[in-house]
Amino acid sequence: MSNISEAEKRKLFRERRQKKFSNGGATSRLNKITGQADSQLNTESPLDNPKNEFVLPTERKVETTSSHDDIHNEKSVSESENTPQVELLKQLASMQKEGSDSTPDLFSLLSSMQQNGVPNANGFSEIPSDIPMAPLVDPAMLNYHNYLVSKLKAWTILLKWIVLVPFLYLVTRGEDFDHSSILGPLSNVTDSTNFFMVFTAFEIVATSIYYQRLQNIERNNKVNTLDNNSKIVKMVSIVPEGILPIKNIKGKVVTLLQYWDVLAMFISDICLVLIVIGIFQKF
Amino acid sequence: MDLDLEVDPNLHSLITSTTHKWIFVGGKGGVGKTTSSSSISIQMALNQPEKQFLLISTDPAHNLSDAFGEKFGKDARKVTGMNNLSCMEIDPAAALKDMNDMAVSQGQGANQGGLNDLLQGGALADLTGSIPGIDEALSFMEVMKHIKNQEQGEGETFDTVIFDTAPTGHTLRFLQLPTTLSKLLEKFGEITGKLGPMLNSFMGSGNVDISGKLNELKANVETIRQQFTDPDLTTFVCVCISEFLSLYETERLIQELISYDMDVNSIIVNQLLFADDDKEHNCKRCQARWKMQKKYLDQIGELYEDFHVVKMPLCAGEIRGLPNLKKFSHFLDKEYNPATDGSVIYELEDKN
Repeated sequence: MSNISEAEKRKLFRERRQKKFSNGGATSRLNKITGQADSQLNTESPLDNPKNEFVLPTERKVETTSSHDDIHNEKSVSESENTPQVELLKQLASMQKEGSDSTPDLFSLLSSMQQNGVPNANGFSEIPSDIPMAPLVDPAMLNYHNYLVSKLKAWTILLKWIVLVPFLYLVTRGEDFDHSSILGPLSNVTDSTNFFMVFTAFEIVATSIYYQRLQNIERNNKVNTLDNNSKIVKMVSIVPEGILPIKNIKGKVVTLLQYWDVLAMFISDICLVLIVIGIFQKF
Repeated sequence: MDLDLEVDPNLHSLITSTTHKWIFVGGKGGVGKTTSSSSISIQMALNQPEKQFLLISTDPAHNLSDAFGEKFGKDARKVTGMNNLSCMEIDPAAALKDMNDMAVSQGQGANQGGLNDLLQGGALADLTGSIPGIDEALSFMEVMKHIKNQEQGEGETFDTVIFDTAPTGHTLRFLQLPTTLSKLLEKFGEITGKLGPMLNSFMGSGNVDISGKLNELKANVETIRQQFTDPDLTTFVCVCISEFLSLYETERLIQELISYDMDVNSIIVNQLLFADDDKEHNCKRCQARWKMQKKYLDQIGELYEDFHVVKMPLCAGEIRGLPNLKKFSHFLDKEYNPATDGSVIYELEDKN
């Protein structure tokens, strides 16, 4: 044993240590430490989890839209592969990803710049005009979500008018019916003097049910309809916080758009009601 | 080959090492990094009097001057009472002020008007000083400077440089810099290769050779990267206390260092009470804390059986000033024995 030199000894110990940290050993060591103290601290080891390969927003976009435009994809991929600037930024961002949880620095700044586009020669970021911004949700999921929302809207309009058309008929032609008949108890509802009150109450109930259903769909699909579909919200998202003297401008715009949606449905219903009443009055 | 080798519970092999050029001392905040790095430096300097050692503090909140009880600055200065140990504290503000002043003096000759006026107010220093990561960058520049000095035989040269590092996060970023810069410069090389003529025309005729500068920088960075990943040249000493969070952070630090291919084989466990052997000062609180410390010491023993785990005592007084540091540092070379060395912890001279 004494024949072993100090350098050989060091090498042997180094190999032993490396062995203990390899093949999942690193994570199990962290688990052991946190397990004894009943701690919730992170036990993912930098040795067991290879560093995430950073993907540029443009490339991510290419992957997600693959089913739509394969030719365009190949072009974009080959462009990004051949551009050293893009490679450099990719490298910078991956280095930042490898970094720890300390304060943001130049790397994070560069990385965040990439969220909005690749910096040009002047140092300003450019959003490629021919490609839309990278969607935050899977496009297939977004399409499915939009389909469900459209279906809900169509059913709401249909059911509303299944109720509204007979109601309007009764309001305009109520005197043609015998009030002692089955419609007798509804005479108050179909009374033309109560029309606006009944119509408004019906609209409120119908719109509330619609919104409740919409929220259920959004929750199930984990998709915010306005965030992903509204061009106004997308444009407002680009405005950096602090430039305008209004805090959380995006949130305020989303609320405003939701109110506008309700108001638009109400206005369109009133317009259609007026048309239908006109038709019933004429014939 | 399964040899029954035991690792010494001290840093004797490191202290007497003639190959190590860079020794990093790091760990969680408040565990005694400065005391440990000072102790290692002192022991190395005492054991190898023919060699020159430099202790650099890369922590933005410097403690070296307080530990030794004398003022150190941005330039290496010998510790009073030791002729082969120097200390320096990297001061980003001072270094940036120097850079600013240099820019001003150059600007005066070139009549730059508005820009010069702006720099007079220290704008460059203010601007760059506020960039996160600047401390690590300046520490790295210091390393490059020392390598250059050694290669060219210019200025003061040191055989071993010991780093008293900032808490873990900063240190990891600093240690990542060579790899990061190496990759970055490689990519820059590709870009300058393609845009070289254009860049040169921007910089004016023959004023700056960008490619040459980049290649020089790349070579320096590559040298540092190679040296940092050579276990015979560089090692990292982890400092911790026998508590859960400190142990957890030490393990993460070690794993990060291994992922950077850096050698780490020593752990200093500070502030141990050894209450069982101290019958005279064995209060209820000490017993309770020692019980807790023992629990984590057992775990450390299990987890780090192939590491040099050095158990250091909690002293009655502050470990400040060269005489106290010398006494304390002795236990890095020859492990502390609570039964026979217990009296030393009450013998430290009061600096206040």
